[in-house]
Amino acid sequence: MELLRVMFSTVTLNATFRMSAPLILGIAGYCFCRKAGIMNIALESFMLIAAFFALLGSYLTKNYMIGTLFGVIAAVVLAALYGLFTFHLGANGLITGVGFNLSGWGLTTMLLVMIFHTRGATNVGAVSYDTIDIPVINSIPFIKDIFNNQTLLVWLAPILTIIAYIVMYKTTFGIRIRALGLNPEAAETAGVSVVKYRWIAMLVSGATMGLAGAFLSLNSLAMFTENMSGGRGFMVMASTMVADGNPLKGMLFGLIFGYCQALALTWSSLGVPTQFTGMLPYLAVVIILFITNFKNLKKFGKI
Amino acid sequence: MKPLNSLKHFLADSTKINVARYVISLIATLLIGYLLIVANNANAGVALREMFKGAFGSKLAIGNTIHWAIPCMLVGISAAVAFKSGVFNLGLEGQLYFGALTAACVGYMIELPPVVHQLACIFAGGLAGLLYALIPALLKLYFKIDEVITTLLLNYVAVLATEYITLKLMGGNSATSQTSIVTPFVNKTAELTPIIKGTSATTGLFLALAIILIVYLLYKYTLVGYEMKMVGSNLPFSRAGGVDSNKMFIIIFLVSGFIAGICGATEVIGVNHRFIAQFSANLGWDGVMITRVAANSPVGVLLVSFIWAAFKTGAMQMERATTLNRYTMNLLQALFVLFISIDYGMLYRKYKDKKAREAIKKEE
Repeated sequence: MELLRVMFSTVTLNATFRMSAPLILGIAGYCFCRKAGIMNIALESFMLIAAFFALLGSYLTKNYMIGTLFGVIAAVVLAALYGLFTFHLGANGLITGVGFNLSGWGLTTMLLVMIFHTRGATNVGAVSYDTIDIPVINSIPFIKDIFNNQTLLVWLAPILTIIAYIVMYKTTFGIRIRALGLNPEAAETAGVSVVKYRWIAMLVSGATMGLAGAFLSLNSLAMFTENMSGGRGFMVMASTMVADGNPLKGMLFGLIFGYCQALALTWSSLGVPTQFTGMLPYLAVVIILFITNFKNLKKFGKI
Repeated sequence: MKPLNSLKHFLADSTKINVARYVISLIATLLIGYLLIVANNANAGVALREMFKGAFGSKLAIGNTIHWAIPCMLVGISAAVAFKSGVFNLGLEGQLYFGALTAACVGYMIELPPVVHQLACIFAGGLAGLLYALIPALLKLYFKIDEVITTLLLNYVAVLATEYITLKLMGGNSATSQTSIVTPFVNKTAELTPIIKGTSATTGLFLALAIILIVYLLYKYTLVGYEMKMVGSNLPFSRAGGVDSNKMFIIIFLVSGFIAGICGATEVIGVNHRFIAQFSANLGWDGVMITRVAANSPVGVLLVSFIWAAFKTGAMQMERATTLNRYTMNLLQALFVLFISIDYGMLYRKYKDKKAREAIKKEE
């Protein structure tokens, strides 16, 4: 009963808001890739490396803003490298993605041992984000516990999503991105440079994954552990796939998976083994993929 | 005569490009490796010597290299079967975990005579891997859910699920620390025999070699193997030729999962003699890298697996003897794969086109 009760407690909902932020940030940028017809499993490494460099930046300068900048730059550089490999050097996207993910894991662990002499850096003296206190909602009982004292990036996530939505559906840029995803040849004939727009989409997704990574390491505790992104990059991918590149729908799925992560947290604090609760977000993704694709059953035939 | 000549030209070019691919990638990786070594204030010569010593320096070292070559070969051939046919089974890690846990359970729960018991463990492990591979395969076949995303996520599920099952088997609770989540040791009858004393180089080597040989023969001499290859290289052509691509897809996925499961099983009954939670340090991903470097050929997998294993054991020695840590090696291996996957043939053709165009311009 206790387990059911906490499902709607303010602690869980507060954590949902927090846990879904990196997913939503990532989705806002990756939507452009999805619409432009790019599948990118290297998102995971963008996030992981950004998380590491954000921590490093914050550790070196004692300033979380510069730390965030470090993370974003690292992720954008990675996105540029990925773009170089897949757009210009003819490398297979999947293999490149696997290579990036493994390099990311190797690089961060190597640097972690080199710089911090440990495989999990906590309390190294990096500065984490300040929480934002909003006096207006402080008087509303339920809302205050959920929305107050969250950090800047938590609020940035929905804002970025709305911006992404407007850009995607209300600007020429968005129309072009969507057009070239539907039919690259037609877009090219109409004078839209496919490579240019794919590059922009790639770099935008790199930047937002950078924010997501920075959020991972610099929110609440400033820490980095080996492989700390733990499949969140893949969740971003899956959410965007299910939402078919619509940032608002993507945010909805980001919230669902964030809720599963939050529930995992609160349930494990009540004594449910973390091994079990840890599975919830991943299973949720598979189940949602299953539900949203159930209609395809009729089309059974060609792969 | 003319088409024959152009064919010759093409063959010569593609071999040259393939050689160039490996040479360029190796040089690029070595260069980055050298920079990393310098950045760590280590001596490149010493690091290389220690690596070689760690991999081949003594009987024990060779044994360790063989010990790592066994899972590398198995998981590599498992990935090769899938990737050669264009099936992106990125769930090797998960299938390997379920194979390992099942093998451990069969190993300690059941009493059987020596050789039968080993085979039972291996078969059960393979079967578990196969069943776990069935989930993404069916999701793809019936619901068109991309197998890439499902296998990636199911990896995480598998790691946690096997840990949870082990926790329940040993009667632990949420306070049990992760390092102590292990199954009991398997019976002596289920353990693979070491071929070099004092190391984990076991008879699993022959099993791995046998599986690679079977896959090799399958591709070379049988119709099924030919169809599997064709599905990968030219899907529309193979469909027009009457290949049931759905059936092929399932077969390939399951075979790949089966071998990955066997890999997990040999790790359990050959090396650890029990299932340890989160034991595999990205072993499944090594398979993907190995098959890429080996260009999906079974013989290539055999060779690359030994090189990979030598890197693994060598890196340990390097870590002990120098200031470098072994993750440096992981990074370099992944970078090597990245350099290999560049399409040098395309770049070369582009370069030649450009030159030809310039030549024409000059003539004008």
